[in-house]
Amino acid sequence: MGRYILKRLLQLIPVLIGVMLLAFLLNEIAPGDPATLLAGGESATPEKIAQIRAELKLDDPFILRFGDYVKKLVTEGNIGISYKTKQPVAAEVAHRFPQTFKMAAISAVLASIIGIALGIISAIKQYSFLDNIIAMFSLLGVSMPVFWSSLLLILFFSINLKWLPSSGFSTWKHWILPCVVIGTSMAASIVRMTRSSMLEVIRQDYIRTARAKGQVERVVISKHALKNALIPVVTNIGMHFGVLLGGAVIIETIFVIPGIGKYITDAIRNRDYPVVQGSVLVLALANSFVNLGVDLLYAAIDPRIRTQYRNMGKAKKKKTALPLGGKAA
Amino acid sequence: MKKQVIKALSLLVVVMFIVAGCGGQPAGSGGSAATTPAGGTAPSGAAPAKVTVEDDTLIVAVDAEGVTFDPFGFADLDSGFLVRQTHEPLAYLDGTNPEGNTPVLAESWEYPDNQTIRLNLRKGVKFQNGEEMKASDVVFSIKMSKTKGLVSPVNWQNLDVENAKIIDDYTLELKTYEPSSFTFAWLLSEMVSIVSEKAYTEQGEKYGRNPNGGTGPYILTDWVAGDRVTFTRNEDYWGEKPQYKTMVLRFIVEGTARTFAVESGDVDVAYSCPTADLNTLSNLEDYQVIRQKTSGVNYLFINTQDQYLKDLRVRKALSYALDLETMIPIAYNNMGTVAFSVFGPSAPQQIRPDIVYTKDIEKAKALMKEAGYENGFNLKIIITDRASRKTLCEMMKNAWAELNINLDIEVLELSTILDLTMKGDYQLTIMAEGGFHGEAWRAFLHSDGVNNYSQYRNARVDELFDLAVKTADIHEGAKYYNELQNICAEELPMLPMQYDEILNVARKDLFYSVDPTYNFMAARFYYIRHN
Repeated sequence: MGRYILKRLLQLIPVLIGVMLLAFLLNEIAPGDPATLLAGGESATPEKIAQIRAELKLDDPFILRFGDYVKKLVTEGNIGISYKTKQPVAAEVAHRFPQTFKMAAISAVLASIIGIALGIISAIKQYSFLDNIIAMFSLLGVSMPVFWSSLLLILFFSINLKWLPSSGFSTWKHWILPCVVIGTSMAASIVRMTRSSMLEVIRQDYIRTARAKGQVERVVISKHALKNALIPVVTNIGMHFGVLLGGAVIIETIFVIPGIGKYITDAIRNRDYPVVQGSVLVLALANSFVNLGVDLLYAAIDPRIRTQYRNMGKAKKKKTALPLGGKAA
Repeated sequence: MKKQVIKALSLLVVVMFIVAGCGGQPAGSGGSAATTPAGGTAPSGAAPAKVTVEDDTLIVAVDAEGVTFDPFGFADLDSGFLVRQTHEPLAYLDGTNPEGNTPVLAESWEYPDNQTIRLNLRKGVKFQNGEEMKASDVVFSIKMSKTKGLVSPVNWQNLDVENAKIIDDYTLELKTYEPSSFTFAWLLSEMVSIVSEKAYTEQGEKYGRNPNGGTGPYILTDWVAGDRVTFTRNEDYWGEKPQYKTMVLRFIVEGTARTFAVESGDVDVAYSCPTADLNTLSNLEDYQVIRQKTSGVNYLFINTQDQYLKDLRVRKALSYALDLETMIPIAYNNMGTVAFSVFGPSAPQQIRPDIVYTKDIEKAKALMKEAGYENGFNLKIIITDRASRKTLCEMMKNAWAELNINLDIEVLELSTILDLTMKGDYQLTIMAEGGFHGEAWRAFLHSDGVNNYSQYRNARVDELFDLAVKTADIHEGAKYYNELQNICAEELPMLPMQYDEILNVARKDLFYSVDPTYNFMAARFYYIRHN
């Protein structure tokens, strides 16, 4: 298992180099000049623009700048200094990433609890009234854009009822609305996934066997069916979680949460290349870890996958041992 | 039973939509619930509570986050906002009156000759690091503004600060290399903040985040990036101290979110709210709406080197085809006024030119015919993603269709637009500019202007700019600026469309003084008082 994790971690290196190169290239071909914006935009003078370009080494060839960036990253752990704020990108990301992570994590937990529970009910009560109501809920959740549901909830809970603040992130009350918005939208998708996966599993022979043996229905569902149905659901949650880490920009903008998504979009607008490159790198890393976490969860849920991971290392050992053994024999 | 449950659920959803939708209703109509103090709660339907600012803290929502408190290290208006709270200039320039400077750190000033200014500084003023302000700090600040300041204009270099004469700790004399009506005006404006030489030098690059060298009434205590800055009152402030011990500027970039923050009572003041929300905000029981004029002017920049637009008859035809008196109130939700001169309202030299374009479609058609474009052509306008500009462009498209001109509207990011306009690789664009002196428009209209987006070349205009700026007497200089404005009205390198106005909202128990200078960098929120 440890060998599997190590292998996955090593695979990160080429992925991160590729991401860095891609982020650099995209910045390079994007129209617009960061120096012009920094020099005052519409009132920028050519002298100031030239001065800023020289200070930021924007006139250096692409390869030189990329090499310099990689060198600083490897030797100093420096992922860049923001053109706009002159602050280290790492520090800014360290301030913003926890807000996004917190929002994504709370939303994912909320969505998983609601989504899996409703998905199970929906599957075991297939075509019932309850199933239809849950289907309606999940359809609503999937089709309603998050900006719309956000505005609706703010109008209802912040402006009319005055129960919750409309924006900010300093108290637990501030997190309720954004997490509910994301959570319900995500839950809707989990419900559908859990339902279809459960329906597939509960038609399997081993479920019928468990029932025939007189097992209690609750145990059949929770122990035999759910565990086997969870793999696609976990994948779905992991994918959503990964997307949320970098893509919750609408929610962050509406609820005024200084998260990483909004940080990147602002940086793109301002042509703040180091911020874009640094943040994309961090997000790529975070997503890779989320994927690894999901893979490890598979192993925790399904003993067959656990065995498969264990055997991967052994198989390699055997492969390398065999020829030597042959020679010895 | 099932049907009953479905009905009940459907009713619940409908009720939620209706109640939520009532948020935009006038407070008096019964649709809106009570407004409560920040963070407070009140059940729906409770009697409206009188709103007061709590805990000696003023919370202001602003529309953008600045990047630095360094008065010489910013080029963006948003940082200017921040700097205004902690730093002060020698004087504020009242753009509505050529001689109407308001003394701040300079108590008075005199002009021994037309190239010299003698400044008498206020005594006993302390910087936030505890040092007393001396003439040497003022000289240092002016030097920094000249050498480092990103917002400094070309003619600011006319000030000979290297040979500044410090008469005593509170008196100094400065000279210009050449007579100028502009250089001293800039010196006595809030564009030149005064800092403590010691604090600024000690902090170096860190000054932007630890600004302890200003004399302003508020001291920066906390900065949460992307969220807020917090200030506390400067107890050693030389003037009247702010009424509120703490002031928080919250960065709520999205316009609707700012409106929501007001409606939910989360903020005491909101700066620059969306004009589309004017009616909603006007109807709030506990808030007042304040219209603030700014120095901004929205222009239609016309590339005078374009194959079609280089023909003056075409430029005039385009202008005569527009009914700005009708279009501007619609596009800007009745905010601001229709522009008539290239100079903004904040420039004391502004006049109403002899030619002002009002809709005359027959004249426009005749001009097009005369230019040989009776059958029209295709034009493209590039704009940023602002609702007002998009609406304006749609109306322009309709108006110009009568001239058989097909207008293609392309929405781009500001950086891309700047890239294209700097290169002259465009036909039309709308941008907002401004200034508090005629010289500010040199950048856009002089042949060598750094922002001559229109690619405009007129030797007489160039000459007039030089003559005006070299005339120390502002009244004498006015005649050159008058001619200049008339030439621009005739030749149309840029069509002034709207004099801008922003929409601010404050609780009714607050007195929010509107800045009379029109200067949009002048947001000094510590002026806000209880009524």
